[in-house]
Amino acid sequence: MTITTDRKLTTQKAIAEAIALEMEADDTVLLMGEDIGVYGGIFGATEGLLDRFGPERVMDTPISETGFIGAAVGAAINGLRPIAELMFVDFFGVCMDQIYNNMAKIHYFSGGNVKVPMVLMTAVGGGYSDAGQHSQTLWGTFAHLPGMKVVVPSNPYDAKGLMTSAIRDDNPVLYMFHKGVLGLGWMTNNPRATGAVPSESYEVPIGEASIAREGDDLTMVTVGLSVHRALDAAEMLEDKGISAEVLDLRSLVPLDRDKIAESVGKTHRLLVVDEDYQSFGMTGEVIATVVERVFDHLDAPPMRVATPDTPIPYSRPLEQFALPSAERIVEAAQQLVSA
Amino acid sequence: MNIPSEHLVDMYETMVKIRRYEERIREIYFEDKLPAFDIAAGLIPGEMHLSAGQEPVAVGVRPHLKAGDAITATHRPHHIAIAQGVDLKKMTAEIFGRKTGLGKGKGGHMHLFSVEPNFGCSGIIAEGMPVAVGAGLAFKRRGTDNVALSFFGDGAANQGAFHESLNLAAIWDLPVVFICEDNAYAISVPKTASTAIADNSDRASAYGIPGVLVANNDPVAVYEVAGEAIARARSGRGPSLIEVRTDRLWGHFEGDADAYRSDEFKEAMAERDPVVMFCRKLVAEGVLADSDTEAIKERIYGEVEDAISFAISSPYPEPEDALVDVFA
Amino acid sequence: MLIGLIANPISSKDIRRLTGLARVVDTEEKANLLARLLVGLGSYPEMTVLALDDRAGLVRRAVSLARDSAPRVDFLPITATGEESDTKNAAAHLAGLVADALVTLGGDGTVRAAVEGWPEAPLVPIAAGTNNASALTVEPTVIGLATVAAVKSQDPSVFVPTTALRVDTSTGHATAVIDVVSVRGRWLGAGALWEPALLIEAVATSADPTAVGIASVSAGLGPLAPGHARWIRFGPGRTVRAVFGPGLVLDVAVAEHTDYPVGAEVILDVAGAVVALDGERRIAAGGGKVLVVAGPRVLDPDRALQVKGPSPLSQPSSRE
Repeated sequence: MTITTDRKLTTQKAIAEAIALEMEADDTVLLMGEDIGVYGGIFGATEGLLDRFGPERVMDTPISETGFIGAAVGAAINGLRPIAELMFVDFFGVCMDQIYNNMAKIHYFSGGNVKVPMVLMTAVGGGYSDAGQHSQTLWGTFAHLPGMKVVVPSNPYDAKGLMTSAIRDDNPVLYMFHKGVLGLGWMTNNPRATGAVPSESYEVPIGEASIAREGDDLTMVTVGLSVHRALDAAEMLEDKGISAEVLDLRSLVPLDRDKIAESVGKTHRLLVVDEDYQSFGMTGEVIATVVERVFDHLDAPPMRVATPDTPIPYSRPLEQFALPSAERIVEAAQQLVSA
Repeated sequence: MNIPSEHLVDMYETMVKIRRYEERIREIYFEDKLPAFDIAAGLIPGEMHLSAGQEPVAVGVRPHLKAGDAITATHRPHHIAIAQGVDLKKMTAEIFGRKTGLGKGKGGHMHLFSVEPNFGCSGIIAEGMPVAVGAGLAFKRRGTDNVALSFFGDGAANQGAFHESLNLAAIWDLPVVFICEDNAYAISVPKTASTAIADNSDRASAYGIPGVLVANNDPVAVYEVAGEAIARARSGRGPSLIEVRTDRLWGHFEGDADAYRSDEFKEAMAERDPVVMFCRKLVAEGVLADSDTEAIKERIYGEVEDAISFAISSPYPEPEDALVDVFA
Repeated sequence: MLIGLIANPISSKDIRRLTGLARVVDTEEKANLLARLLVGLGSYPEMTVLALDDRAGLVRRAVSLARDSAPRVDFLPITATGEESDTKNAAAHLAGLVADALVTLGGDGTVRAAVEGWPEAPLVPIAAGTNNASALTVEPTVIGLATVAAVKSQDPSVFVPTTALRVDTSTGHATAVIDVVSVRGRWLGAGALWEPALLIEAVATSADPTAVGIASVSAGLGPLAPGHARWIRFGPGRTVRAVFGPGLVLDVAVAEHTDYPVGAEVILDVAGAVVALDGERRIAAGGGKVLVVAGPRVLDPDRALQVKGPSPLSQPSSRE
C-alpha cells in the first residue's frame, strides 16, 4: 500500500493526532487515565490534548484502575465513547476483572443489546531495562479472552489509522502500543519509528494484517516492535541470499488467518516472532493456524523466536538475550531455510 | 415527608410481586433437581440467589427514579430489577435460558441487562460500582439530570472497587447514590468477622461524602432517605452513601443449608418479615382495605405466572447461537 | 463507686446528614469519646464501670483505647439487640443496683430511652447525637473527673433537676426529655424531623437559646421558668428564627404558646399525625395527653468541679 505524503510523524505523535481528530469530530469521545492530561501521557500518546480539549474531556485520574476503567465501561454504556489509558499493560493485574469479565462480556451477556464502545489503550514492551513489571507485552493473555478486539500497531501510519478505527468501533478495543515504536526522544533511536502520516483522518481496518516486506523463502509473522526487528533481520538475510516475507499482523483479535495462510502457502516456511512469553501464546496460535490450514504447503516444521518463559530480566545482557533480536531471527531463519 | 398513597400502594404491590416471584423461582428451581441435587438440571440451571426479605431497599428507591436513571446491581438482582420495571417476561425468559430472554439466554440470572429501564448486574462482587460511577460521568458530561444508583452488599464494602468508586464519584462530583444492602452476611461470613468498623455508612466520610444509616428494613424509611439522596444527586450536589440494614430471609444461594445462621436468628427475621409488616401497617392506616390485599395478590400473582408461562413456552436458542454476539 | 455506662452506636447517622449539616460522629469517634471518659473516671481508684455491651463493641473498643488509664469495666448481663430497648433495659438494671451515676453516650433519643428505664437517674449525658439539646458537650475526660467529684461530694445540688414529659400511647407511657411534637403524616419512616411545615403542636421542656431543635424555637418565644414546660401551636402568627438542626437556620411560624408547671396535663392535637419524642418520630397511634413531670437530674460539671475539698485535678493519681 502506498502512502502518498511526505509528511513525517513519530508513532507517538501519530497516536495523539488520531485521538485529537476524533475528539474534534465527535464530542462524545472522552479520554481518561493517569498522567494523560497535564503530562500528555507518560509515553506522550496523549500529548497536547488537555490544552486543546480541556479537563472535562481529558481527565487525569487517581491511581484507581478498577475504578476508572470500570467507569469507562459505564460511560460507554451510557452514551459516551471513552478512551481509557492503562499506563503500562503490566498493571492489568489490579483491574483485570473490569477488562475481561465486564468490558469484554457485557455485549454478549446482553445478547447484543448493550454496546460498550470504548478503547483501552496501553503501553507495552521492553528492551530498555525497565525490568519484569514494566516490560511485558502480554497480548497473548488478552487475545486469549473472548470479547475484546486487540490491535498492535508497529508504525506511525498504522498507529493513527488503527486508533481511529478503534475509537469508531462499537466494540471494546484494546490498543497496545509498543514503547519502542513510538519514536521517543528519551529511548534508543529507532529510525523505523518515524514515517509518513497523512494529516487528514483515515482508518486502518481492524482484523487485517499487512505485508511489511515481500519475500519468497519464508514468512516471518510478527507484531509490534518485532516487526522492526524482523525487517532488520530480513535486510541481513538478503545479503545472505534469503528472501524473507514479513507479515505485520497489526491485529490479534480478529486474527487475519487468511493472510497468514496465504503467505505461508506461498513461501512454504513459517517463522513466528513474538516478544510475549513463548508458551501458550501468539506463536502457538499462528503455528496452529498454519498447521490447520496449509499443512500440506509446509516444507519444514514451523519455528518460533519468542521471549522465553521467564520474567523479563533487568540487566542489559540478560534482557537483550531474552527479547527477540534481529540476530536471533536471522539465525532461526537460516535454520528454517536449510531444514 | 408526605408520601402520596399511590406511592405507598405501588411500593406494597411491588413488594408482593418480588416476594411471589422469588417464591415461584425457588419452587421451579428445585423441580427436577431433586432428590439428589444436581445444579445443572431442571428448568433453571446454575446458581440462584434470591432476595426475599430485601424488598424494602428496592421499593423504597423506586418512586424517585425517572427514565434513563441507571442502576447497577449484584448477583442477587431480582428485587431491584423488578422494582425498576425491567420487563418481567424477558427477565424470566433469560433466567430460564430462552432465546426471548433479555440476553437471548447468554447471560442468565446474574447477568441481566436492560436498556430501558437502564439496568445491569454482575456476578463479580463490587464490579458494578465503577460502572455506576461511569454512568454518572456520562450523565454529567451529557448534561442530563439522570442519576446512577449502585447497589451492593455488606461484603462488597471490603472490596477495592468499593473504595475506588466512592473516591472517584467524590472527586469528580458525580450524581451517584451508593446503596449498601447490609444483610449481615457475605455468604457465611458475618459482617462482624469481616469488617473493621461497625457501619459501612461511616466509610462515606473517608471520601468526603455523606453517609446515612437506615437501621431498619422499612420501605418508608428507605423512601425518605433515598428520596433525599437522589434529589441531592439529581440537583448536582454530588454523591452519597446509604446503608440499609435488611434481611436475607433465605440462604445465600438456593441449596445453601444456611447452617451458619442460628435458628433464633432466622426466627427473628421471619417475625419481622417486611412484606407482612408493611401490609399490616397499610391496612391499619386505612391506605389499603383487607379486601384490597386479596385482589392485589390475585392480580400480581397473575402477572408473575404470565412471565413464567412466557418463559416456559419460549424456545431455547439454537446451539450455534453461542457463537454470535461476541462483537457488535 | 459504681458508674453505669450506656453507649448508643447508631446515634447521629441519620437522614439529617443529607438534609442539613448534621455531625459526622462515626463509630471510631464515639469509641474515642468513651475512651476519654474512661480516662477521666479512671482517676478514681475504687471505680467500677458497669456498661451495656453494645452491638458495635464501642465500650470494648474504648477500654482497649484507654489501656492502663481505664478503670475496671464490667458488662451488664444483657444481650444487646441493637434496638432502643437495650438502653432502657440497661438503665432499669442499673436503677436496680442503685448505681451512683448513669453516663450515656448518644443524642437526645439515647437520653430519653435511659430516662424511661431509670427516671430518677443521676444522669451524665455525653453528646454524640445530632441535636444534643439534652446532652453535655464538655470534653469527656473532664466529664469523667466531674462525675467522680460529683459522686464523692455527695452534694445533691451538683445534679440539677430538670423537667420531662410523659406521653400516653396505645401501648403505655413514653417519656421525652426535651420535646413531644405532633407531626403531620402517618409514617415513622426515617425517624428524624427536618421539615417545620409538618409540625402541628409541641410541648418543650427547654427554652435554652443555645439549644438546637424545638428547644431553639421555644427559646425564641422567651425564657421558660424552671419546673415548667411550654406548649406551642405552630401556624400563622409570629415568626421565630430558630436553629432547627445543625446548619439549619429556619423561620418557624408559631400561632400561640402557653407555659405549664410540673403536674399539668397538656392535650396535643394529634389528628392525622404521628408523635415525635425528642426529635424522632416514634408513636403512630394513641392519644395526645402529655404530662409535665419531674425529669432526670443532670450533672452540672462546673458545679461538680468546684465543690469543697481538693479538686480531683490537683490530686496525684494513686497509680504512682
